[in-house]
This record gives sequence, C-alpha cells and structure tokens, in this order.
Amino acid sequence: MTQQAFFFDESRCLDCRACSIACQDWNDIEKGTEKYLRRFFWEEGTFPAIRMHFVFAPCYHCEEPACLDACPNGAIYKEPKYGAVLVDEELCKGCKSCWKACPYGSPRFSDEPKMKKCNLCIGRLDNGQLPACIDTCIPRALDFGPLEEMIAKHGTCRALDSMPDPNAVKPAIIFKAAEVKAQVVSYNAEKARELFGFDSSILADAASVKKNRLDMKIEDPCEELAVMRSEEC
Amino acid sequence: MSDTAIDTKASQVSQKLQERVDGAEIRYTVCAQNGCWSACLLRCYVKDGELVAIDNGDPINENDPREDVGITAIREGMIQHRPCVRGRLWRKMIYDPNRALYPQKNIGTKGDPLWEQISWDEALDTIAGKIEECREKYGPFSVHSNGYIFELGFYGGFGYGAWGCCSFAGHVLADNQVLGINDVEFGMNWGTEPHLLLDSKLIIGFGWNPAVTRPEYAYMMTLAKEQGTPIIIIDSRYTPSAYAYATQWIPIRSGTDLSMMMAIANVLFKEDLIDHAYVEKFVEPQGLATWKDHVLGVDDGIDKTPEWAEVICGVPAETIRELARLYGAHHGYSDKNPCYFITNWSVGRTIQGENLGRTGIYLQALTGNIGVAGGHFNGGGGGVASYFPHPAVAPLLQKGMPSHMAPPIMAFRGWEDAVLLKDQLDSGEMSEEEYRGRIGCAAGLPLPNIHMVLNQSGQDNGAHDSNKHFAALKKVDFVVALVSFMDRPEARYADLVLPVADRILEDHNCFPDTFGYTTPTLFATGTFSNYFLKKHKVIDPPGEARSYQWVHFQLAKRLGLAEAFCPRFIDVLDAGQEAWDKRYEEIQQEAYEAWRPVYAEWAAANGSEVTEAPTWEEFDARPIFRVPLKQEPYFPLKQQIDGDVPFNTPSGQIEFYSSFLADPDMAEKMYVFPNGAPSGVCYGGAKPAVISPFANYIEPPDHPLSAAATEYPLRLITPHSFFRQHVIHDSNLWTKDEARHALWINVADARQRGINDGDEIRISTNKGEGIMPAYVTSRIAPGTICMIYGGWYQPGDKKTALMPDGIDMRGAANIYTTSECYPWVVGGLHCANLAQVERI
Repeated sequence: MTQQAFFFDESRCLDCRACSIACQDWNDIEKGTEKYLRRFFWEEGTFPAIRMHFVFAPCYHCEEPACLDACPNGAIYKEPKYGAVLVDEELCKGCKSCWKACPYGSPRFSDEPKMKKCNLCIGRLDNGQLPACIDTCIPRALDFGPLEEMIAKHGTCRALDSMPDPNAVKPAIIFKAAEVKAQVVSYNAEKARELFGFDSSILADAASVKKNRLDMKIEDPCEELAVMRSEEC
Repeated sequence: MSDTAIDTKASQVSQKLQERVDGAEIRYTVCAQNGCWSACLLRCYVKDGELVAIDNGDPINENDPREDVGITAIREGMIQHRPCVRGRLWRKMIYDPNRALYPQKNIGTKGDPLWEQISWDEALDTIAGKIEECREKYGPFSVHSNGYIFELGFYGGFGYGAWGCCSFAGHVLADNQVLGINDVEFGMNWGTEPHLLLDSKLIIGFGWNPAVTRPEYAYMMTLAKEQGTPIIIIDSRYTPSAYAYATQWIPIRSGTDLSMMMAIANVLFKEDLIDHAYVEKFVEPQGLATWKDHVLGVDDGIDKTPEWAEVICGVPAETIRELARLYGAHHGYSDKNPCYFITNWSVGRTIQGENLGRTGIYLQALTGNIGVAGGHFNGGGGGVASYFPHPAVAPLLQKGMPSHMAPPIMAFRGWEDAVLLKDQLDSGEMSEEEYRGRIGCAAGLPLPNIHMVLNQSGQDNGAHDSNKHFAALKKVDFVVALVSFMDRPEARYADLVLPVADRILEDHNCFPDTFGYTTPTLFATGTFSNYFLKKHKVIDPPGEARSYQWVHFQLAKRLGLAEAFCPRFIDVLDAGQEAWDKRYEEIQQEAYEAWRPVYAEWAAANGSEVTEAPTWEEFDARPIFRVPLKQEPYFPLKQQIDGDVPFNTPSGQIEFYSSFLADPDMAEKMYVFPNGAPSGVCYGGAKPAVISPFANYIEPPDHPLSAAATEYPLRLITPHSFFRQHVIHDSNLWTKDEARHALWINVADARQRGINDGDEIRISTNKGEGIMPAYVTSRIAPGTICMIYGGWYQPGDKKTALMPDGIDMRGAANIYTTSECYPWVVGGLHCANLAQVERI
C-alpha cells in the first residue's frame, strides 16, 4: 500500500470553497449537512489587529484511524491500494462510535442512519485522476500524492494551530500555516482605533465575535453546517 | 475481514463511485461571464441528456495540483486556467426548481404578478407587434432594451444609445481625460498580462480584491507574495485579498480613499519623491502645477497632509507618510523599480469616483509607473492584445448593414428618470431644459419617449436604486423580460416573460454573442493573451426555453429583418433545436478552418514552435488552443513611453488638467479625442456643467463624517462575492449551504445597537428598507457596513412608502444604493449609500 495524502497550504487559501463545491458536485451530495469535505474558518483578534484561520477538512484517511478501531461492527476498513479509510454501509449500524472516536468529526451522519464519508475519490484515482477537490484550487493551495512525497515536498506539520493532536491517529495530511502579517509600514493599532472611534473595552470581549475558535466536532449536523458556513465575501 | 475481501470491497466501491460518470458523454463549455474577466474550460459529464458532474477541463499540467512548473512556463502562460467556485456551481443552478419553462403573460400586476402560460408564437407575435406599434406611435426612441437584444434595434429602427459607462464611469472619465484612453471601446487593449504582477516591486491596491473579482490574478498574486513583493491592501474590509495576499492590510473608513491618496501626493511633493525624468518628459507641466497647488492647499487653503487625512480616513498619519515614502522609492521609469498601484473600479463607483480614478493616475505618473512593465496606469477596461490572430465568426454571418445607429441621446442610466419624469414634462410642471438635464440629454438631441422595455440583463436589481428601476418598469406600457428563473426580480416587473436557455450550459453561444469563442481581447480580459477557447452546448434547455439569440432572430423574422439580421439562420429558425444546434456547429467549424491557415502563416512569420493548429476534430474534442508566449508580455501605453507616440490628449502628454472639462460649453459637447475618435462619452446634458478640470477634494454628501450622516450614520458598501457572478447564483442551494449572506457590521457598531451575530436586523437607507441577519465581525472598519451584491429582491409582507411592493427580505444590495450623484457624473454606477441598522 502507498498511503496517499493531502497537503493544505493555509497561507495560500482564499476560503473560496471551490474544493467543497467540487466535492458535492462529484459525489452528488444534495445537502450541506452531508458534505464529505468540510471547511472551517475562524477569526482571531479585534479590529484592526485580526487574522483569519482556515482548515481544509475532508477525512484525513489516517495512518492509524481511530474510527476503524472504534467501530463495533467492523464496518470501517483501510483500503489497500491508496490507504483510504472506507465504510461498508451494509455493516454499519449507525451507532456513531466512529464519530465519537474521530478527533476531527469526519464521519458524516445526516438524515440517513448509516455513516457516510469522504472516499478519497478512489474511483477517480483508479481512473488516473486526482480527487475532485484537488485541482479546483486557483491559488494552488492543495497538493496530493504519496505521503512520503508530501512530507519530502512540504514538511512534517500534521496539524494547524488549534487542531487536535495528530499523534494518536497520524492523519494523512501535511499542513502549512498562514504567516503572521508583517508591518511593511508602521501602523499604530491603538491610534487607529482612536481615529475610528472604536471603543477599546470591546477588546476584552472575545464573545462579541461569533467564530473565534476552531471546533471540528459538533454532533448536530445543522449546527455544524452553521459553523462551517463562511460569510459571503 | 480478509485481505482479499477488502480488495474486492474496495474495488466495488471504486466502481460504484464511477457509475455516475461511466459511459457519460464528455462535453466542454467555457465559463466566461461579464464581470469575472477570466475564461475557463469546464469539463461536463452528460448522461441521458442530464449533466451529472463538472470538473476542471484544462488539459495542461493535468494531475499536477501545485503546478510547480517553474517561472518560465508561468511567464509563457503555459499553466491552467482553473475554473473558480462560480464555475463549479453551475450544475446546481441550472436544475433549480424555479427555472422559467414557458412563455408566460402576467395577468396580475407588475410587482405582484400572476402568470399564465402562452405559446411562443403568441408571445413573439405580441412583442413584435408592440415594437412596431411603439415605433409608429412614439418614434424610434421609444423602446428601451438592454443586454445584447439592443442590436436588433439597429436593424429595426428602434432603440437608442446612451452616454457614459454602465460600470466604471469615474475611471472612464479619468482615463480619457488624463491619459487619452478610451476604455469603453471594445477591442482596445488596456489590460495587462497577469504575470506582469511578478515584475512589480511593490503592489498597492485601494479596494482591490482580485482574489474574488479576478480569478486569473489570484495565482499570480500568490506567487508575487511568495517571491517577497510587498503587497499593501487598503480596504475597509479584511477581504480575501487582504488575508491571502497582503503583506499588510490597512483598514480605511469607506468612501474616504481620496483623502489618503491626496496625502500621499502631499508627501511625494514635499519630500521630493517624484520621478523627475519621467515627469519632465511625459507630464504636461501647467496642469501638474495646478494640481500641486491644490494638494499643498495653495488654492483652497487646505494643506492636504497626512495629519489632515487621518481624521477623515482613519489611517494614522505616520502610516500614510511611511507608505508615501515607500511608494516614492519605487520609480518604474528611472529606477526600474515599478509599483503596481490600483484604485479599483469599486472605489470609483461613488460620488467623486472620477477624482479617485484621476488621482490614482496622477500618483502613478508622479512615480513614473505608467507605461512601464510592472507598473499600472490605475484604471483599465478591455483585454490584452492577442498574441496571435484568433478565429473570427462575424464575417461568416453575412449580416447586412444596420439601418439605425441608435445614437446616444441620454445618459446610460437616464432611462428610469426619462420615464418617471415624463408626466411632469408633458404637464409643463418641469421645463424641458431641466428634464434634459436630469436624463443627460443635451439640447438639440431628440428626446426619448419610452413606452416599451426589452429586458435581458439583470440591471434592474443589478444596478443602483432598484426601486427606481421597478417604478419605471411599472409605468412603462409593455415590459418583456428574458429570464432563466421566475424568481428573478426582472420577471416580477414584466408583462411578458420569455424562458431562455442558460448561456453556459444550454447554448452554443456565449456572452457576449461570439458564437462560442472566447478570447482574451474580448471579455476574458483578466487573462493571458496566448489562448482561446470554444464551447459546446452541453445539454438542452428545460421545458420550452430557447436561447437568447433564437428569441432575437425570431423577433427579427417577425419584423421583416431576418435577411439583414440573421441570414444564416433563416432556414433553421423554425426547424427545431437540433437543426439550430447544427448551424452553430457549422459556423464554429467554418470560423476555425478559415483561421487555421491564418495561424500557420503567423506561426511561420513569428517562429512559433507550434507551427500548425490542430485539426477541427482534434480541437473540438478539447476546445482550447494555447501557444507558449515568447514575446514581451503585453501592457498598455508602452509606445508612449518607449516610442515617440504621443498620448492621445490635446498636449500629447499626461494631463492633470483637462481643457475640455474647463470649457464652459462642455455640457453641450461630446468629448472627441485629439486623433478624431469619438469617446462615446459626454459629460453634458446635465446642468450645471461643473466638473473640476483636475481631481479636487470636496467632501461628498455621502461622506461618513458629513452632516447627512446623522440619520444614516453608517456607510454601506456592496462588493462582489466569491459565490455570485453579478446576480447569478443567488438562488443556488449549494451557495446557501456554503456561505451565509449576512450584513457585515463591526463589533463596536453592533454592540452600540445591542446586535449579536446572527440577529435579524433592520437596515434602511433613503432608498430602501429590509431585514437580514447580522455578521458581527472585526473584519470591517467601524462605521462601514457591507452587504454583498447580487441578492435577488424578495418582498416581504410589510409595505412602506419606500418599499411599495414589500420590504426586502433577501439582502438585495441595490434596494439600498443610491442613484443620486453630482449632476456632472453621467451614467455612473453607485454602489454605496449612507445607512442605518437596528435590532428588531
């Protein structure tokens, strides 16, 4: 088996969601709650000192998938050619043990009781194509290939800030974090707030911004969809 | 599970996943839309007449996600044109439940329609009859048409032309008066090859968000950032370009960019950071001296320093000063250290837009960055000059000469007032002079008398002050809307609706009418010059829907114009979809085959390594043709700087001061370029005809710190979105799951109003009112709110004086924007307004 892996370059990501739409199109996914490929974003800081964070979240087809071990029905297996983690829907009883075990919340449960998930587009791989999400990316923030090759090309970072500890499951993905912005010209944020008449007491009120942290495990699909939904921009 | 069992199971999964596309017919279409300025190939999988999937159709560097192909290949344009999210959304859109399927007439009222299905014959006969009736009773200027249907009027003796630019009037004025550029003339190449961004040593953008609006620039900007080019984005929002590209984001109070730009100029002058060699050679000195006096306050007593500007724009003086110094150290001409500087069209779509456009050019002239590689002249419409000749369809159509050139008789957006104020004119309540002034119809020109509207574009909800459009549509005797979706606002205000095919997937034609060919000189203007594309029709339109052009040609037939207007389609007009399709394919092939020897000749003369174009069959199987770009990349105004070609201005130099605009009789004239070319632009008609001959600073009435801001203390901006192409995709269910359409409001402004994220809020301006959820964020400057443009007006039950058909429940941005502007801004587009927001 050659474990196939993703690479996600947060520093290039526009959060345009083309990858997510391509996934829904190729897999004929009707509703957002059934999405195999989830996207998360959150905001850090208060005006004007802010930054954005993005996570590309298909199933990471872990080297040591916790979901596989957790399934009481033996419905989850590691596919031998590409290392894809797949589910046998006939064996799945919908107990959600896999969801509970997965640190990322990747197994999908929407209206149907049976689990569905990202299949690494093994059909496309067998057909000599890339997974549907990969070559949608205009800023070329995604890469795909054997894990060893991804590590050689892109390093060993297996989690972005705020993501769960990857060591227990070894996700088949390499990340590159977005850089912190530089000051090309000096900028006094305090002075700017004053000029804008911005009440600095808000600085302490982190709750005033809705999406200020990453939460990849939300059990209710509708609530999860609301969190994943980006803001039109 | 045994290994063999797993193997079997996995291969079953693989097969099952491919079932949807197994045996599918592969067809290609071009996603090229007004306003995106790229052109990408979509590979479409069609099974039993149904589109089952779309993916990236560009064959180059296939299966190479990062395209790490090296800088040479990038500079040769040998990389993919990847379809963006808007291209990927199409399948969900065309299978929308609200597709228009039949011609229907409105047996209710406009604004509250009730539809009854009618036949195509009845619909087309009615429309043709009404056109003839209008022409006879009310004269040739009685039919308002938009979209490409207006071409029919050239042959049919109805319709009129309009002054100005529907999109970026401020920049048009700036470009033609300062640089002698005619942006609005098609085929003029004022675009820049995208990879020239890699030659810029500094990139500064005001309100510029190419991540969303210029997909082809997105990758170039990524590469520019990674090669270490400093990128400064000045915007009231933390946009995708601000977070993905900008080395530094500088938030600014919306609508105040001009003050910051003037302060930058102030520093350039005072600290002598000018590219003197450039200025001495290319800038007309008296105009420069006049403007310098304005910037330094010699004429009006206001020294426009960074300290003056910071109070207005919210950017600390120290930051403005340092930015000016950094910018002033980038002289493209003398030091070969160019800066790409742009005040985007968006910041010009406001009162004083022409001054933003002009000041951007002045700054680039002062620093020697116009007409040099890696620089930019600030504005820009039109594409890049094609690297090699492309197939031409027009000569094959055998059209006759049009009989009626539809002369420009009023401002581009004058028709609503022409309709709404007509009663006052007729009753004598309004003088003819005032009426002419309001609609931009100069004395001596025929007056319009509009009694019919042929509505083919999304202008009514897609341009400012929708309620004014709606009121005018209600007042007009007969309104026809060509729509693909019955929930489009244009349908709501029509007497008759025609169902039209989707131009991306259900038509051989594309936008504009180029019979399926898309080239970078035309509408694909943000792209490389070294390729062209052609599309297939992918699937049949639903119900009885037919293409736009079929409707135009059917009307031509009924008006007795078919011989002149569409001679090559007469025999297939009534022969069904298949014969119609076949004719397009024939014309596409003829154009290609006529072009192949032309290309071969070009290749031989230019030593191109691609000596011959593929055969028609080879090309049609994957219709993209691309040649490695082996010449210096295209950018405009190079000849003016490198050669001895003068600028097309009265002095032959870059003019900070326009003698045309200084002419007191300017209002009665159309601007004609010194080389004799008409500009298509007139600032006249409107009185008083006062427009400053140079970019000056006046506090506009929609300024966030102005007196008018007491009732409406926030400034609304309405930018483009990733998820819509203008108004397209608003009802796409995939987008609704992917992104929330909510009103951006700063945490401070929200807290002051007791608004939490997700709360339903009431937003109001002097033009409209509605309800939508709030997005409470630090990503927008305090005092600015943002409603993404493109929503389709959906009326609620509550009716008000401003909203006679019901308040807006969708966040349709143009319900709130204003058409009010200074009288001299003719045909402009206004994407902002002052607003108030409250918790419900």
